[in-house]
Amino acid sequence: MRKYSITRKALRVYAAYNPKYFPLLFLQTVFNNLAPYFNLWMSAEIVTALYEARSKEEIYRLVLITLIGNLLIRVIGAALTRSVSTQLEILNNNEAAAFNRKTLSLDYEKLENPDIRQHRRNIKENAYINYYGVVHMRMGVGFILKDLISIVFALVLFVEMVSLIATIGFGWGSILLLVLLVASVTMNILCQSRHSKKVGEAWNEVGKLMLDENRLGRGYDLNGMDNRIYRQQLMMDKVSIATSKRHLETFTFANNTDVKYSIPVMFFQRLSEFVSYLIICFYCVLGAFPVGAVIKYVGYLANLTGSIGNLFYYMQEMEVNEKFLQVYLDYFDIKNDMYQGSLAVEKRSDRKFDVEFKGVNFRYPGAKQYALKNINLSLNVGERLAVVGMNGSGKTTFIKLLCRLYDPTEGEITMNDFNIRKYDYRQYLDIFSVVFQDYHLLAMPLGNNVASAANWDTEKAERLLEEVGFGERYSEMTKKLETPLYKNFDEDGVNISGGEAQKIALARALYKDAPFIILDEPTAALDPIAEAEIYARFDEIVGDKTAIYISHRLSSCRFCDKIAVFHEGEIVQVGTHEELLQDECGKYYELWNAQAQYYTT
Amino acid sequence: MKNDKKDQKKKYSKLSSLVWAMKKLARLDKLFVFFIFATVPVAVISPLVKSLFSKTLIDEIGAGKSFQNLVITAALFISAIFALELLQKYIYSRCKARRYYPTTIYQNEMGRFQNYETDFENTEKQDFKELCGYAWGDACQGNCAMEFLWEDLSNTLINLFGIVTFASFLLVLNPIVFAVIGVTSVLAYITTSWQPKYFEKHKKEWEKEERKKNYLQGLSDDFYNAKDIKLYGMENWLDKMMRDYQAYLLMWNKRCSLRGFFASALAGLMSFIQNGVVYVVLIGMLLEGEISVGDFVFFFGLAGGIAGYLQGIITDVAKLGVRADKIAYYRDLFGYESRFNRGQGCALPEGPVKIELKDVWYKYDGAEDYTLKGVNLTIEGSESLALVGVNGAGKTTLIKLICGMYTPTKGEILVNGKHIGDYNIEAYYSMISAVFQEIRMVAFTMFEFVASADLERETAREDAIAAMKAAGIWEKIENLPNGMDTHLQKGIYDDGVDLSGGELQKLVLARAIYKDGSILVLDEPTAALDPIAENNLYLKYRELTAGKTSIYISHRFASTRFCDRIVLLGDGVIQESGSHEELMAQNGQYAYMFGVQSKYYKEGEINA
Repeated sequence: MRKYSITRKALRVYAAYNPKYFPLLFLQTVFNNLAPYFNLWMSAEIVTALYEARSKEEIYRLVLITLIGNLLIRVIGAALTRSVSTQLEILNNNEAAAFNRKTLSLDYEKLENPDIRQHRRNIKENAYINYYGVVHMRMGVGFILKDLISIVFALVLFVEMVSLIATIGFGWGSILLLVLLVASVTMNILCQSRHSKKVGEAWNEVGKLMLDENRLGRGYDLNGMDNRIYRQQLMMDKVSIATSKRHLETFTFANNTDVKYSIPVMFFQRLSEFVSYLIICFYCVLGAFPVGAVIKYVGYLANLTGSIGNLFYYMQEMEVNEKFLQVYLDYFDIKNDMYQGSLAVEKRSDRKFDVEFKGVNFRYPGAKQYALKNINLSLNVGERLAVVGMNGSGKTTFIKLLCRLYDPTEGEITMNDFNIRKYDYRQYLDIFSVVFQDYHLLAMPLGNNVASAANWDTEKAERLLEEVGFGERYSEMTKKLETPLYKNFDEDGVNISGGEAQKIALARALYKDAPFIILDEPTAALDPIAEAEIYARFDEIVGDKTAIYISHRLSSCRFCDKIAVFHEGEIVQVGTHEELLQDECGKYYELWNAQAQYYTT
Repeated sequence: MKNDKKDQKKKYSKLSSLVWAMKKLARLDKLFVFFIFATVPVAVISPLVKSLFSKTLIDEIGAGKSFQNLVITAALFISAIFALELLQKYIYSRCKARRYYPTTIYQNEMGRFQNYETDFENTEKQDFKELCGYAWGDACQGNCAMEFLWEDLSNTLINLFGIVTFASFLLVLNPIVFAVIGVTSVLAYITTSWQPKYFEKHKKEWEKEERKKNYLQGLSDDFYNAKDIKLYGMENWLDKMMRDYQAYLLMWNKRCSLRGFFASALAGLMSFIQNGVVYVVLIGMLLEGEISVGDFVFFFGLAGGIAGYLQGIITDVAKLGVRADKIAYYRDLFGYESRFNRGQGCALPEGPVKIELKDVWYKYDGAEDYTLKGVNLTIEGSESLALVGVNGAGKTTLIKLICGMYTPTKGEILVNGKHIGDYNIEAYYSMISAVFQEIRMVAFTMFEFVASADLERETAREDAIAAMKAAGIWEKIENLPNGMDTHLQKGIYDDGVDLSGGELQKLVLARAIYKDGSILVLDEPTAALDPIAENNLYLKYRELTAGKTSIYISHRFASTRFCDRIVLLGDGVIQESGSHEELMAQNGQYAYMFGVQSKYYKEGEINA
């Protein structure tokens, strides 16, 4: 039984999302499977009564029991079905919440790790193949319950049949027939098991196909303009035709497999049915059972063999599903390995937080090359630092280390003389307002976006939006801060341009009012006028905060106190604009002139 | 507007939509259509044979037939049932093998139409988007109207055929039985449709909330959002909001399922009445000696079967009606009018291309104001034009008009003296190399991505390498595991890689260079590039645009220095036009903007 250890573990985790679900499912399954057996039983009774020409009263009493019994089963079943659907929704809700919680509790480093992102995606994708994962498990449990209950009911009838035969006594004929029955039922089950296995394999192919189809849908989300101009459609057509062809082939194969392996199953099914008819007829003729038994004992047998076959199938599917459950469980087992400090970050009104990089080297997890080498730099309170350098020179990585989204591979970063690892992580994160290049706004009301919270300070939010140059667009928004952004959350949302999004992200960072403000290419999508406004108001906007400004537009260096020039992971120059320009062989001079030459002549 | 749409929908009758879909299906897959109808006789005959079997056996036992006789009866019937079962299995397996296949084709046809065949402008129109939303909403596997039509149609036929066949056996019965079966079946249908109706009626009250709930539930799936949520500490707020929407939806789920419970219970009551009447009538007949016990079993089974068929047919007809409405969306979509010429067009110009815009006005669908308000502009063959202006001035709109993505609301665009509409639009596109602002990674290989415009070219691979070199991305691509045959985008193909913003910008530039169209359009092609890479493009620009008509949009005024002419767009019109020196001398908006940007690059103090 060790075999299903993963399933059992996953079931515990999953059932805990709503402990009421599975017990109710069990009850519902019992009631929904009761009706066929109840009706078989009652029909047999009625037919027998009619056949034996019993009294009218007795016959009608049986009819009434049948009718009322069915009604009761139906009503109770419906009530249970309703509860199960409600409890399932609660379960799904809690599971979704647990996923969110888990993902959001991951270290930032994990969130940037493509393997972990793929892991999360795999869980979703597995669900495309036969719902593999917890949903498959849930449904499998439901099916297995159903089959077990069926088998129990059927066995009761079987025992009844055998005991009735026993009253007549077993002759050679009856033993032969019973042996034949058991043999054909066994054959039927064996064939079903083989059928399940083969069909399961074929459906795995279908699952893979569906997964690929889904991936292709994601991968070939074409841009309408590019497609028309660069005729991407022609390639797309090739991919689609190949996929359609594969689709038909895979489904045909799966169904052919099903037909092929179904034939012996159907044969033994009918053979066992035939044998049981023989037994029933034989003993009916001998008078062991009433005529109604023809209905009863043949009906259950079809159910019994079907249920046993299904049971095999689902047990096997459960086994197949184990590896998908493992993926699910593994996600929840991802451990954060960042050290969580405990030192409280002092709330200082003077915002005196001095940060220093001391011989910091950094390599991304799994990378061979260092992204940062021997970084030594101190940031002083209220200073404006410009970080410049070519694409890939380590500018953004530097920021990520500063905010402790990653820990240095070697060396240390200190704040007010303590290693930043010693501070409480959440509190440390809270002293930074960052706008990364890959920032994302939420598709929610503007006010929520600016405040990053359920409620906002209208006066403050409006002032900041005005300050960052969003005022004009804002004045057109009739719902003001209630205006939803984008349309995927609220269809009344408004679309905003890249430049406007950048301004909102900037306002969000300012609203947080943290001692450090870090802006990574904050004006890339802005026009010269809007950019110049930000530049001109930069001091006012930033106030007494310590600011770090990353930009490819070197003009921004002019309003910073200090410039750090990054090149291939190292800081090659530090100084003021004037100082750095002195060095005509330096990187800064080269970068500056690449742009400035067009403006100075 | 709303009424117009309703009228338009009525232009297709339900029947014509069904016929339209059947024709389309038959064109795609004749075999499938054959098998759909082949299911009908087998599906009706099988249960009949089974009922007949029980009846015969009971009657024969009752009549005291010998064991041998019974064995023969059982053997005959079971063989027949086995044969029918095999036949049914085979026919159904054919249907199942093919059922999703047409959808894959429809999906591609729809994607092709939407992304390629119809005017790009249409795809930005609200009604077109709604139409696509409806059509795609339906076109998923497992619920596609075009695909599940077969099931509905064959079910309708099975039910119809079943009623006729079963009824013919039941003619001996009292007509009251039929009346009761009919009435209770209809009532049962009405009660079971109660919940779906309630659902439809109140759907509006939770649709929005459901969308919000789904958005919130999926928010962390996309790790990009998760990062911002973490940085700004929004976890608890978002969780609480999600919980609130979940609770709201759960309340509606309970309300709906309560109706479902009552409906189900009432349907149970209907079958209580129905079965009760059938029992009473049949038992009465039996006691009168009109029918045998075997007949009783047989008729009771048939009566239940007929009730099922009756409910089935009502459901099927309703379903077909809904399917027909859905199919009307597809017809509307494929019938959506395009304005560009997709037929025979005039010959493409050889050599340099001259573009003239004559009093061009443009208004976006649904917008109140014009974005372009009478633009007059002539771009000479081989001229290199820089287009500048503040955000929202209409620069991108203007180039979309020139690229044949939009048609002017008023005014006209001439290309070498001919209206754009005189050219076949696909042929016209073949003249254009464009880099637009929005860049989307597609899971092609780097080579395919760059060379997709002309994969058949004999020197395709060499040209692609040359283009990547010119765009400054070859060094990166050369070092990928599969070189330029590496796929773009992680998580689609095993070797997929994601490129950074700057790298992507270089890659789309390479694509434009490879295509070598006679019109080159670049919209902010250096926004994500570092100063050195940006400067490299500037230095190469003259070479790239030699002999071509080119338009360069940028917020970086450095770019204007190597263009022949600068056009400043503001407020939907051309405000200034001329060389850098001329415009500086004019001391207008251009000179102001240039000054604003350049002041930080000039030596000396900055006065904010």
